[in-house]
Amino acid sequence: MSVRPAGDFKTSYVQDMAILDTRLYRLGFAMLVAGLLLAPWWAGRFIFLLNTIGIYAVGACGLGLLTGFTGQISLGHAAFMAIGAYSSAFLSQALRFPFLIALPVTSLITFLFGVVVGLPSLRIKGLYLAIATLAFQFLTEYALIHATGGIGSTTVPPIVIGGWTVRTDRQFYYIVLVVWLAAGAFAANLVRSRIGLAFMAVRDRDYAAQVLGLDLLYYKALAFGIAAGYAGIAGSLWAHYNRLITTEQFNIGASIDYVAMIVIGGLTSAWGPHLGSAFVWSLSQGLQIFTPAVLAVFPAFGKIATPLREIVFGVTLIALLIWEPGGLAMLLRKLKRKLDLWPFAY
Amino acid sequence: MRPVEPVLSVDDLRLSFQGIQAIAGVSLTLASREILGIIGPNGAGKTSVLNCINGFYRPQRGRVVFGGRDITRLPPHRRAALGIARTFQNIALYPGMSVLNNIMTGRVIRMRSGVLACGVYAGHASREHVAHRQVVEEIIDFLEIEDVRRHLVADLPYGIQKKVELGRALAMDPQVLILDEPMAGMSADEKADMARYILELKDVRSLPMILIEHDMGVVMDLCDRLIVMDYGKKIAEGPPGAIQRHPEVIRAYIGEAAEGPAAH
Amino acid sequence: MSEFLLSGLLNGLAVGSIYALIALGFALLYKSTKILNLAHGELVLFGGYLAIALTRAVPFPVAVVLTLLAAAVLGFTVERVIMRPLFGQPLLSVIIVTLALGYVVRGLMVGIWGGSTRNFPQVLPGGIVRVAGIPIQPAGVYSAVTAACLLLGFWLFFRYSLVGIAMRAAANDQLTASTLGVSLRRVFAYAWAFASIAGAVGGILLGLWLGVNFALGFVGLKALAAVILGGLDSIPGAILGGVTIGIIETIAGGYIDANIIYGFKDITAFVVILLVLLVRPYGLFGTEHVERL
Ligand SMILES: Nc1ncnc2c1ncn2[C@@H]1O[C@H](COP(=O)(O)OP(=O)(O)OP(=O)(O)O)[C@@H](O)[C@H]1O
Ligand SMILES: [Mg+2]
Repeated sequence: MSVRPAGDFKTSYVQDMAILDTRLYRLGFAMLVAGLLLAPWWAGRFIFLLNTIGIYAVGACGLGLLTGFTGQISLGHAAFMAIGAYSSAFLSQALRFPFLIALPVTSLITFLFGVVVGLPSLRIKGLYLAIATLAFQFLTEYALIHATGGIGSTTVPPIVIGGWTVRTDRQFYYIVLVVWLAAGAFAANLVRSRIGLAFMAVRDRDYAAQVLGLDLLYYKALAFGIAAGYAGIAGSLWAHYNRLITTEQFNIGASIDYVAMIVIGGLTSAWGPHLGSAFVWSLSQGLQIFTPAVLAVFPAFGKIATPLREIVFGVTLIALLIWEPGGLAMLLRKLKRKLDLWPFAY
Repeated sequence: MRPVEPVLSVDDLRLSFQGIQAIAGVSLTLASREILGIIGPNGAGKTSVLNCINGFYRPQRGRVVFGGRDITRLPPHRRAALGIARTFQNIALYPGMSVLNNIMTGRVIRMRSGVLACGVYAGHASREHVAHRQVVEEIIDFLEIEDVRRHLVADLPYGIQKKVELGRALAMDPQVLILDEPMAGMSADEKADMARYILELKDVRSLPMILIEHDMGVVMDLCDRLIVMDYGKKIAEGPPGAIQRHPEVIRAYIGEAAEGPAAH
Repeated sequence: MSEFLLSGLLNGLAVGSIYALIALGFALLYKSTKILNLAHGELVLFGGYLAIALTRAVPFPVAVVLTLLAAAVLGFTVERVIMRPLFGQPLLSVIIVTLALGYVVRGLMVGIWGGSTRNFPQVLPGGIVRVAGIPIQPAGVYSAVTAACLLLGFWLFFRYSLVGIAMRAAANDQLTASTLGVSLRRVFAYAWAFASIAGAVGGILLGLWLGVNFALGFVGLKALAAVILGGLDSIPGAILGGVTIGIIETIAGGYIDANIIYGFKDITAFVVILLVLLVRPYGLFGTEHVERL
């Protein structure tokens, strides 16, 4: 009979600080990545769903750092995504920047916007800050409509990398996947590094962060900048994916969706934004498939198909958050704890 | 004995809040390797003096000099970076973080990796993190809180939280440590532990400290010198033995029988 | 120009008084429960749609009374079924739940009443009245008067009734209030009912004036903006914030829309708020929370 250690034992600090800290996690993650790499073979026409999830997960990662880890509520995240999308469109359309240059430049541009927007957060706090960012959201939409001559929409060329033009959803998927994994890893690393510690200190008690020598203005502006940088990358991907962007794609509704995603996923977990994006988009896609199926059986529901979707979506969110206010990441953590200890209760 | 240059000095501090005079002209000096106690009844202005030293309050008049440099105008985080660490009367930990991360946060200003390096977390950034983790583990050993290092601080009893807060301040490798009632609300055993840590910090690390404490027994045992405050003024200063017999002090404490200076 | 200003002021005051009423409900709920209700706009819509539907069957006054009753029941139900289990949970989780609640209420309304604009049958006299020589729609005058009366009513209620006093106590300090025998559950339930009633009245008034459609859900955000402008912890601030936003929006928005660029009306208010917050980070009447160290 072999004896299984109850839990994992770590023998060095490096091991202890690893992101995937148990064998179970590492195995699960490897399988996840393998599954994602092979997605074009199993996802069929839902590859577009994976693209959407990936792009929004990147954006949500940024908001997760800002709101979940630094405690600054933003209702203007989609505005940064918009700035990213339109900058990227401009860079590749008008200036003929190749994608591999346009992407980092876009993210730098939005980073700078984020820093500027973040500056007032030293004085404007909490819900007041949320409303200030909401004002930024409206102003951005407004400015973009007028910057595009009143129409608000613009076309975007496809991605070209060294002579290879990305045309299909499947090809685009690999671009999204690479960026998604890199962005996710970067965020997870930030969280466990000194930057993450500083962010959490600012979030939990700002004056106690100051006595440790942390400059609140620097870290808040940095968090805004990083969040906006992420949103910019998401916006750039989104622009090249859809090839036609309008300001409505980045309206206040999208900003609120972002907040919903990180809350549903789990605010204080590096996995949260990914889980949240996957959950929200899969649910809404699932409902879109499900409702016609219901209608086929009960044609009488025809008139209420669209509202039904909204109702089910809302009810699911409410039920999930009442069940576990810490979101999906917290659910998974509890599940993992049970698995670690199985078959004993403690 | 020749006089030593003070590590920290405060000169004629005055501070008022909308008419309430919280500090009315207080001066003090802190020598190296010295524990300076500040005592006085509730509302005497003790915490306010600390807040002026570390920069939360801007005094209307007076100067704060640290390591020969006038820091009166510096913002709090700059003073902390110069080496002034402190703890709070009402614990001010980060409730959403583990004990380990709370203390680790004290090392953030000692780490040098940039944002991009932290995000990639390879090479130097990772090695640096491990090195600092080692320092933190030493502090955890010193404070005998190994068993709770993974707990969220919000879940821990008061006495242990006080220890963690001390640990976080120590993690900064400070030049001066300021402790605002580190033993308030502790049991006798916990107080004895805390006193032991404080003495060890003084003897082994030669760390100068300012200590506010209401427990007279503790104050008399630990402090090299005492300052007594009342109504924002310094009413007495001297070695513990002399303070105990000082007439002004006895008068200030009349009616505060529970915390009278007639300790032991 | 000055006639334009005066007319803007009067019309703005009328819209603003409705905003004030809606914002009052919002602020009340925030003060006594610390919940930011993102479904508030939907509650406003609910009042408007239900009253219009009921007016087809029963006389207008009866329809109004029934609507307010329904709003109160809705408020109580939401508190009991959804909010109570979330007591003490993280702020953002609760806010997102109210957002989801908004989806549900909106879905139900679209399902029942469809998505198009609805109008009340003619219940108010038509034509134009003149106030100080300025033409204004009668609905505007009625709205302003009704809102003012209701604001006064609410004020008296919180000042003198037992429930009102309990609610103020809880708003001040939940813990202390509950140790003094105030039932927090009761207070929360009443707060939801009141918020929902204030929203419904706002919906009816706006509906009488402009008709009800889903774009009106946006007033939820405006109420939030009004409350922030006034300062989150100040009820008079919320009222003043609402009136201010109505006036600014009508004058500045109307002027810029007409003369410079279209589409600015709805965001003027937010621009003003941004400017105010840069100078006063806690709104016009809010108090800064000072941490004693
Ligand atoms: N931020 C502030 N705003 C207004 N008044 C303040 C503030 N901080 C302190 N005070 C006032 O200044 C005076 C001194 O307060 P302080 O906290 O320094 O006293 P203390 O000696 O530390 O008392 P305790 O032993 O109770 O901690 C008190 O009257 C207090 O009310
Ligand atoms: Mg004090």
